[in-house]
Amino acid sequence: MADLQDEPHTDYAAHSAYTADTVPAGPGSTGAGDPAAPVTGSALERAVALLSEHPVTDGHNTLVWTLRQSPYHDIDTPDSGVDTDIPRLRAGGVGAQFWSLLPHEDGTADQVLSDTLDQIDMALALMRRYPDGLCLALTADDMADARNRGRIASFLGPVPGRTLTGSLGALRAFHALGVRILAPAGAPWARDELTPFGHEVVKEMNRLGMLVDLTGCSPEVACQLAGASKASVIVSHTAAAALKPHPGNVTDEVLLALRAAQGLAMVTFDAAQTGDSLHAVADHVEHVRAVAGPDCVGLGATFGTEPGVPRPAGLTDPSGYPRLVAELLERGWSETDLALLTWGNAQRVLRDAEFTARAAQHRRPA
Amino acid sequence: MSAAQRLSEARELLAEHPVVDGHNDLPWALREQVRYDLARRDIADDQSGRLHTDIPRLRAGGVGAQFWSVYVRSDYAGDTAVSATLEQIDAVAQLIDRYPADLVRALTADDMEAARADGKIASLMGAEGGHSINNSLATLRALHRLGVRYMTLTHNDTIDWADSATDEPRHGGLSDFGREVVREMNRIGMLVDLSHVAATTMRDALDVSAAPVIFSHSSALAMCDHPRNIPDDVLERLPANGGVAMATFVPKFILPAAVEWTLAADENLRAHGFHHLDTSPEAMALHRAFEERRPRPVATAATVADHLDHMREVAGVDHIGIGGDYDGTAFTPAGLDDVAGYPNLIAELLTRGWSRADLAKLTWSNAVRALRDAEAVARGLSASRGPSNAVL
Repeated sequence: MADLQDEPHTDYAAHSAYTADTVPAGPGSTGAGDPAAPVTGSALERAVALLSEHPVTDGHNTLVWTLRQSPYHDIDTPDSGVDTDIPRLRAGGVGAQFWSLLPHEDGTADQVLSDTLDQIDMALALMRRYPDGLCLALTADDMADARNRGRIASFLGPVPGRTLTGSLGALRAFHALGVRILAPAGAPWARDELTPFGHEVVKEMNRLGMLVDLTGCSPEVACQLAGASKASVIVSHTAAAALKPHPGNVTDEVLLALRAAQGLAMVTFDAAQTGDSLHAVADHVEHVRAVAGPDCVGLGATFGTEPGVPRPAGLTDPSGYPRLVAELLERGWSETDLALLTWGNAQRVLRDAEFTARAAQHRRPA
Repeated sequence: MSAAQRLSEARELLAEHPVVDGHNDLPWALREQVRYDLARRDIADDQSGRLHTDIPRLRAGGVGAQFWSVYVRSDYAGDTAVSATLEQIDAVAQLIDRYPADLVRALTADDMEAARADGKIASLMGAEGGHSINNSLATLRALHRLGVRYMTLTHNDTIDWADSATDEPRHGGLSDFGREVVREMNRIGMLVDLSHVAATTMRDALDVSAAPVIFSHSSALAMCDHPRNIPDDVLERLPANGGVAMATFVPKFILPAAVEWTLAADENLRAHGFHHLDTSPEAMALHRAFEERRPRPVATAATVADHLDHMREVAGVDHIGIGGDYDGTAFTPAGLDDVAGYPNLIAELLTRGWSRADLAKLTWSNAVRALRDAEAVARGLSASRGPSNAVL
């Protein structure tokens, strides 16, 4: 498998999902219904070629959580029971995935921390089980390395901040176990404002080289976090509140703060946040680029669910990314900007976090 | 041979075959005393009077490998127990980072040998009590990934799946889930530690375990009738199992007169509103006042040697070791007052005619062998079965 992947162009071209006549364009785009339409075909081919060089880094996928509820899916084969599997990740040109790790929500049991350790354990087990598809990634270099070896670089996180149970020792344990992204929303130290302990968490994340994920934070707390962090922050899955008000969507104020802090807003494919067409998702991506800048936009589809979550047509599973990239090409995006969107920006924020950590560790012991 | 000659022979022997100590509570002492502010207890300097343990005294004691206990209180439960354990693990990592010339992280028997060759103190970790995993085998695996190489199945309290020696039994030993915990520890290569557990739990664990077990800090019941000690029928099973019983120095477990005295002293602490294991300055002041009224019986190196003689006779010389429990106990034997004391114990055993070869097994090679054998068992088991997802 791996040696075949060393020639990604060949592999993608051979994959039937990539031939223009089998992939429907998003509804509403001109000529979408006509498989022979040359413009669509060429855009899709260009999208596929682009993704083979600059694969998608996706900011949020809840497969690990879903597999805990129903562990019987084999993600080595396309399985209609869950939207994410290795063939469809490959078909979509996904080169790196942030795997969201979630504890039970019920909150009745005193086990949010051991639950999270359980999710980490499951994610690591998944990588051991599918070594030809997934490989653990801890650094930006690991991303490129995985791409060169035909593997999907797998980052642990985001992990919800409340799972720290107020313990920096737990944060350092998460880091030692491989977690690289933590989302403060919902933690008692990031609820109404970033508390002094919250500032300490951010400092420690900077020192360790973990990404701060602003998803779900109020605009005030999001801006405080972006200001407190010495390294670039991300929003692992969101959309533009200016286009569609939703509690998970970021306001232009936050997007401007991300622009100032050289952070990254990763656009979701959750129809509730974006609207139900591929066009709508592309609109959100364009809005984020317009406000935050081409260096600060990325993708975080939030796949990894069982059927039932409303998805934009054409973006119902990870194999849909080439269609979105084709749409953006048709809207006149340069290949440079697209490469930033899919790969470059995520790699940059990871590198930035690592650089900040190296600098901080000279100054500040644990 | 004079006493001075024996002591110098002991030191010489320890230089070659240093002590692997099964249990030291320095991390908890650092948590309680200074909330892990390591600069306030710089163990590169003499910390006598505050701690039993510092690097100069470890060196003087001939310690070559230490299982640092990442103990958390037995009354911690749920996430509190887990997060405190992670903090303890983190503290050990910080200690190792802080003193790289003296301490080196060790995860395997090979690491222990490499540390000995480098003249450093191999630093391993042991968790003390199944409450640390909050009934989660994934949490057990996380502790292993973070470097923990043994887990004592219980501390002072009976838990959901195993009976403690010092609490009411609920399972008659190990429950089914408890047996699964032991199997999973075998699979991942974490030593099963049977200190603190009820004798029924010891026997159940020996029935289930495919790998050597250890007693990280327990002595012989036949020498001193205290539930923290090991009955002879259990010691007799160690040769077949390959495990190691590491004799502890805690006077209130090993000296019958001290057992009596401690019952009264604990009662005194409780009467003043303190937990009986409290070692805060206030609690120690109460102990001192109590001692003036009722002199404390003093154990010595000979008391420990009596236990070791018995354990060698029953378990065999290949199945004994040392687990001082320094910084985990208020009182220590005379001559074994702190971690610098091990040469006095070795000198005592030399007096009793222990051979150099036997002493080398006691101090170093038995413990290293137990870990090495557990690693081999884990390699075999993990090739044939995946992680256990059993739940309580």
